[in-house]
Amino acid sequence: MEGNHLKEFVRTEFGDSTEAQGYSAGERLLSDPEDRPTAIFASNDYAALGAFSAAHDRGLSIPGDLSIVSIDNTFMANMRAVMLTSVDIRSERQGELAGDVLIDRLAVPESKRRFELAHPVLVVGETTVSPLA
Amino acid sequence: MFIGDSRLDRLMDDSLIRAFMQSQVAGLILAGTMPTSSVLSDAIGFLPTVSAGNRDLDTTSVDVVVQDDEEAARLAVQHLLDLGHKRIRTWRDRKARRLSIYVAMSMFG
Repeated sequence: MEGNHLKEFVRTEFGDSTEAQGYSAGERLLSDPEDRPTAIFASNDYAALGAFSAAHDRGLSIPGDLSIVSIDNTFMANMRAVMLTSVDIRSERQGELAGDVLIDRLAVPESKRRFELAHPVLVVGETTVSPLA
Repeated sequence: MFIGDSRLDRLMDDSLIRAFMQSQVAGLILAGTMPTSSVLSDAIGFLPTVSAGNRDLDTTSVDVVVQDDEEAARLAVQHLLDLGHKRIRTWRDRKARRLSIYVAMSMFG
């Protein structure tokens, strides 16, 4: 990814990631028809659903008028009414890794401290498509 | 294997850990975020412990397994870029758990 393009295409504000904060962020980001984003990236499913509601209340259709992507891929992302595109953080994989690491630790107590990352996977739902214009 | 769930009552953390210690468990896996009490600190010092899914646990003494937030943010934004989006908006989460999203986002602009 070229850094210049990202600076040009992605604009970042501050806010929290509750559903209410997602709604108000959505309201704010979608308020100016002259500068309306074609896509919103929320840092969790709650915030994404808040933004979803804000878009809906403005009469925007998802994904036709606005794409939404988030992180977590919780049960909420997979509700049929929403089918949110969300990055799965692989909680089950984290559990497997934790079990493996503990078993290794018990076998070799003095081994070097471990730090393991579970690799996330994008799960494409029905809230992201190419922009119209 | 014993499984304890303290989501209904935060004060249960300590009593669960005491119960595990009394059962002479060989090791602990701490799943998710939880406050670090003195009982927990003592247990960590005494038992082999793995922390899973918790970026806030401030200790260098346990093994850690976490999600890759930075990679997750990258995948999400790359998906939008691949679709051709050029007006993408996001907002930064103030929570420490998402700390690496700040890193990814500072890269993104």
